[in-house]
Amino acid sequence: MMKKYTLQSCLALAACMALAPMALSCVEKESKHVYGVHAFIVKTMPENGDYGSVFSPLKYPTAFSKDGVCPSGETCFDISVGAYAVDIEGNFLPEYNDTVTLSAEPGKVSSSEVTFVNGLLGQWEMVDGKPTKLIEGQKVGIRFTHGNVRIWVEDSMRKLKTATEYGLCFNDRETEDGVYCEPTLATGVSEEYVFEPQTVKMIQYNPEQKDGPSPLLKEYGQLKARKGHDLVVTNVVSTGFYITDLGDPDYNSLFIFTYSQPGRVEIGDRVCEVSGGIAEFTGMTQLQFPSWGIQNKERSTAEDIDPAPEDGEQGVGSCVDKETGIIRDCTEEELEAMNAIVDCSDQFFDHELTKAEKKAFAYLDPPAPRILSSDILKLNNVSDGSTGSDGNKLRTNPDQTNALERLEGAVVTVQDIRLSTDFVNCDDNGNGKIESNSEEADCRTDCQSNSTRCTEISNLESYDQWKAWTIEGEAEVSVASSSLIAGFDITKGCLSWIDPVTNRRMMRCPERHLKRLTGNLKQVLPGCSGSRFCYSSGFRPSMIMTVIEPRLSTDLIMDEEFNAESEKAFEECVNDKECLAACKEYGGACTCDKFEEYRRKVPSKDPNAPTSCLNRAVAQ
Amino acid sequence: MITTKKLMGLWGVLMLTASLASCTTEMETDDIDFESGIRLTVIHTGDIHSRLLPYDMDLMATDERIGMTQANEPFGGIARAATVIRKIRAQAQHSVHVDSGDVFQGAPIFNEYNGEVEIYALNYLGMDAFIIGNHEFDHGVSNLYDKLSKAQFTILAANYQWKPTQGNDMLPLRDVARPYTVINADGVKVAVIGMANYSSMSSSTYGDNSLGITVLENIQVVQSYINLLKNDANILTMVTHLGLGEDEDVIRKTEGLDVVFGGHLHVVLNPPKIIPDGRVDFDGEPDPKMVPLVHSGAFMKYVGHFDGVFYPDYQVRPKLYAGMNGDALRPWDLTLVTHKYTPIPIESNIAEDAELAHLMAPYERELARRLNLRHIVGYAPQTLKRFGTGGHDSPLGNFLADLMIMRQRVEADFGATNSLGIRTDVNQGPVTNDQLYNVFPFPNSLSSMYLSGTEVWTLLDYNTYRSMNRGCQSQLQVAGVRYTLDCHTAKRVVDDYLDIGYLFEYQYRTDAYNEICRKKTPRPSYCRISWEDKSNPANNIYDVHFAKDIKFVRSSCNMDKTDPTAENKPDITKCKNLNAYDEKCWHDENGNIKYKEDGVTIDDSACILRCEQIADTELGNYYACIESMQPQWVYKFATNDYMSHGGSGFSSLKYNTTQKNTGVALREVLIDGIEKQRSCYDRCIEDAGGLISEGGRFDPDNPGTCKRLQNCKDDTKKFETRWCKQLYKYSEQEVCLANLDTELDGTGASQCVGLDKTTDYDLCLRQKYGIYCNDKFFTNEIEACYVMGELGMLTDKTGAIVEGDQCKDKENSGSVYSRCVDSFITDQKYAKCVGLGIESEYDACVRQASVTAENICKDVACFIASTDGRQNSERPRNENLEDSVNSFSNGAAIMEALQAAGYDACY
Repeated sequence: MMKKYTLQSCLALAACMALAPMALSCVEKESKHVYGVHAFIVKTMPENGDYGSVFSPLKYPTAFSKDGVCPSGETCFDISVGAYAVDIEGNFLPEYNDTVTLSAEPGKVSSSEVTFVNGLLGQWEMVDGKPTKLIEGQKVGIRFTHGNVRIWVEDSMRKLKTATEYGLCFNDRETEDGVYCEPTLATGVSEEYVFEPQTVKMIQYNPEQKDGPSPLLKEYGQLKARKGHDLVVTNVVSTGFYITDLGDPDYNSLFIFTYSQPGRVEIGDRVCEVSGGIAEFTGMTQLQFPSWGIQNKERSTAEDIDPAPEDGEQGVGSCVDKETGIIRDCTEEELEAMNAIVDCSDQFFDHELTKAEKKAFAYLDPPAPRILSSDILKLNNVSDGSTGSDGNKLRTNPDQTNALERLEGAVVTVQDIRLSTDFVNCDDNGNGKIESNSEEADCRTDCQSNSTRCTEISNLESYDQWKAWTIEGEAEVSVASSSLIAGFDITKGCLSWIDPVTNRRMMRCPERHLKRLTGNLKQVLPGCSGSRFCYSSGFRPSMIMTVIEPRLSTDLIMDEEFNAESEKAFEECVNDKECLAACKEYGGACTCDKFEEYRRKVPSKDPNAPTSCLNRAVAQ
Repeated sequence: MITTKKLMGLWGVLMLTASLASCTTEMETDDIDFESGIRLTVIHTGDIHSRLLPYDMDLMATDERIGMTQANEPFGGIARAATVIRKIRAQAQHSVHVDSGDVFQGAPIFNEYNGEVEIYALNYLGMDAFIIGNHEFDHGVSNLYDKLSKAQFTILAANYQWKPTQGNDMLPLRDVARPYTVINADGVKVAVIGMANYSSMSSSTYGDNSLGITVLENIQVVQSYINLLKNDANILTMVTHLGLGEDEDVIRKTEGLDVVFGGHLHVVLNPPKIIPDGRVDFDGEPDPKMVPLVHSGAFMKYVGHFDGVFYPDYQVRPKLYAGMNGDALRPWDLTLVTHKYTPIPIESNIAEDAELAHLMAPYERELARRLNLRHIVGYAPQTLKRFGTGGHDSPLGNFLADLMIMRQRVEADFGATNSLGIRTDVNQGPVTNDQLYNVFPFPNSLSSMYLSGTEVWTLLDYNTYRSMNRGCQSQLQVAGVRYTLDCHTAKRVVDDYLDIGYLFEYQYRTDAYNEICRKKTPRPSYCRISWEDKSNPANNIYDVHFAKDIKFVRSSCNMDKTDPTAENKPDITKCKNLNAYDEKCWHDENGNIKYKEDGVTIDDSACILRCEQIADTELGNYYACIESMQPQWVYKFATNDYMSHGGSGFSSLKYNTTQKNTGVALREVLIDGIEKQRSCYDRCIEDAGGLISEGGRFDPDNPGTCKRLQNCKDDTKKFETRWCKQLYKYSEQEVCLANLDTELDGTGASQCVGLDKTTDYDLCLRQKYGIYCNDKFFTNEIEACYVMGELGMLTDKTGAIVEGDQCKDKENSGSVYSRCVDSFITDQKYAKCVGLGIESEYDACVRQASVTAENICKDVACFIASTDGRQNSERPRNENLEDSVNSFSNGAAIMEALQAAGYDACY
């Protein structure tokens, strides 16, 4: 069965020449692998007999069945796996009795370790001592499988029996029941299964942990526009762009991280294809190192072509209502529009839009922004009192927070909010970051706790996020990309000074209100830039910042009247030495009225603290 | 001194070992049953950049995402990588190891040995194929030939056509480099087509010498070698040093590659990208094969581990082969059907391959001594970035450029140095010579020349053009000058020229400007008439500029203050001593410039000189005399010799006849500059208004009030402590040799012959991963002996296992004490060892670290740099967008984006 391999002295000609004098020292060996397993022949059988095809792909499985029953509302897919071991010439190896690892590429399998018996996995029909037909295999469930999928069978760790084997094992590992050797990398893969192609929802929706990381983390994301799953650009920011899949009402949006402002991508453009590694960055799912192909909404060259409707294809029967976000039957117009969209594979799409195409692009308009109430916003920042795996207080039950998670990356609106009035720079050593478990971190925690209207300055400068609160309900939300909003300077008219005790840079601003804030919803886990810990299963962060990234200057509607009055009052206070000193010392908004109001609400521990600007008993 | 002869001797052992490793048993392809599938394991490395030894760095979020942990510092190290590589290759049935190139340049070991150690180390790894990267040419063609001729792996560059260099005998680089190789991976024939770099090879035409290379077009080269090899190999791969965008482009436009391994941009693609290739079916319809594109990072931070499962194509696409059978099915023609990829982080918890570590140790020690690498130049209280947050001025670049113009006997009006000449950040912590070599690996020196205003404009125009392709991130770090990079205009100009059929080459701009400005209607707004023919406007000569608002920064013009706490105010009369000073220009009470003639205020544009505020976040705001650039005036310019020789395409400087090379290395300029700064201790005293004992607020015993000093002490102690660990890397023989080197002038080396070459620590490392060994060996040595004894790992010099009980009998057997005694053979030196066994040498070393840290923070400079916004940019905006946009149709897009984000992007 084992063949004596012929010896050739050297590989490449160059190496041969260089090594000519050494060639004699080469020693013949039989094989570098102890027991000759080279590959596995793998046969699998789907429970329902369907392997799927490009024209009729299998449905994306989201769960493993238990005792043959699929959890309600989920999709399961069970298969039975059989395999036998072969040597390098393809001969059956009945002496192989080790453990193998099963995996789905891409995807997950329900049980990954199985052991061979007499070179076989599962029951096979044997002819002349050789396995020929799989009768019954090992039952496993697979899930999170999309696109073209194969099941891998890999030689796994193997128990060592003899001293000779021990000597040949490069990397041994001791366990209670003996010494094991690392695997040989012998592998076999199954026939191909064809599942539905990836969608944004597959990337965003984690059925096990509703607010958890993408179930496809570290897989390659490949999204293609297709009927019923058209993709449209909803925002372009300095580090990438947001897309929304028009075919799903929730979990339908995704951030594409392009490092710098992506050239020639604009809001409303159609995304033909986009691909990249699926990653979590501070709690936000994104594609990294992306490639993309886009059809621009606006065109300059003119040449009318009437696109011929594609033969025999009917639009899909369900459409997402742009206003309500509910799935309903498509209207005639929508179907017509969907059919009129130019095929993405048309490389020469450079004409002025026809009437039908204009309609089609109108269909591609992103859905109307969802309005986020204070109650929903609070799901991200209210603790239920228990302690999470990072030692901090847990926030609200994560199952409820999927109200926000399902909107991650989507365009949302928050109404009537007030912006931060206090700012403090907690970066004591000036290295541009807040060290965890340090005074700096304590400072940030103090600032970010809900009782103050405070934004941490280095956070503001590095990530461009200022905090704000809804006026009704006091729910916290942060505004990002202030730099995109021309003429809006949050520091205008603010008072800044160095705190003599802590030596920290402080700033206090007049209270300003926003009537309406629209933009893409981002969720950020502070201090969780990429460590594995943040994304291990079961990890519950104590705090998630809800950030809204505006698209255009019109996404921020200021309450001009209120702000003008507030700025005036602020100026008055700054000109009043006592009020100024009191405000600097005790925090809160810096006007006489606000100061009194604040002092009533938050009584000072210091008995000498003034209760009013007009009460001049300020200790200096 | 360790002589070269001795080093060669050690390498002799290495080469023998390496050659044994590469003479593995091989199979004939005929023996293999392809129909049961082939798993090919590919080890991928690249952009090692001379980082053979572990190094410190602040991890980026991307590294942490892959699985690196800051606590596992230092990272990298080729001896650790060797452990991983050898392990994987031992397990794998069919494996190859390919490297994407740029193994040269980036650490002092290259400055000293010109790449010799790198090549020997790669030989040891048993690497199969290596691509020539752009940095391989850094010490010249002859050096490259010299080093590559020692390589035992195949060197590839399919896209280079070699021709003799002018005036030189052609070195036979072409005999060393091949276009492709077919590796027999235990019976599986793996073809590797190697594509060397072209995008950063500006030195191949612009530098001092031509390299004798003609770079060929990618797509044609790759497709022709695919066609040549497809019947002679089972698997077709391409390994490149092209860059991400180019790799993607080649895959999309060729047909037949199974998997591609790239480098040059220093990024890790995890997961690999999957790119559709240009395959068409028999009917000519697109039928793309999905090709994985793998990039595995740089600096030996990761070892890329790719596994692909291949089946005969006829099994994968049975319909195509319907009706065929037997040999017509070509069962050896394999196609990739599924793959897995893991970048394995190389961290301190991986054991070093003892053999490789020992073979490098003499180089390492010799290097440390020659260059005084551990010398602490200063302390950086915060990380100084090579790229600023806005992408232009970095604190490090500003600091260096300022020093260049202020250097004695240079004293220039302005200066510039290429941004990519600064290779890494200066991390928070002690700044050592070693680190500065990593920051400035190039041996560039300071030079000066005179430029007219027009030439200044050309220089900055070119920089804007060059930066435009790189996310409008300035490719220069400047001092003494402020200007705006108008990338928007540059982009428009280039687009317009490409439209009319020019292959835009900056050098030929004048003709192109005239053509487009005369012909295009309406005339583009960027055209400026530089010479007008009123009788025939068709003869007008046009000029186009990409750099705007060029101004020079002169002396300070703060108004004299009577109250030192008052804010600075402008006073233009302070600029009186400058040539451009004009009494008629003055500032009103709001600080605005006015021009007054005969008592009448008129247009202020006549004022060349103004007194303007400069905002500096580190050094505070101040006013300075700012002078508009005058095309006919002459300015003294400080730069580096690389740029003044026309490097990076700055050919406008190449022919300047006023050039003077000071011969002073930029690294020296930087070190001098750092050393002149005040220490953290002094800065703390000053900030607190003096010492407590002198009535101030600073208490040296409680420096917690001054974070800088506390951080300095903590960081320096950590640095010194780590060095203590490092000391234990060496074996008895090495300790012996090292002592001889320093104390006996290199004589008597024979004393060391026969001493153990392996440390107990190494023995431990050979068998287990490292943290465990560190814990064990760096506590008390006697305890360590017991632990080893219990584990049956304690050996005597013959290699026989001894019992733990012997530790007792021998008292300090195996301890530093006994090793020390062994090392010092003569009696008078024996005395030095007394007492060592009680407190381990390591413990003593750690104890000393606190004292050292205290002293260092009092003495050495506290390295702080200014950030005052010298270069602005106007990025390209979307205008008149046309047709569909594909990111992959623009190879530069990704590279530009990466640079913009401050990635280690390439070169």
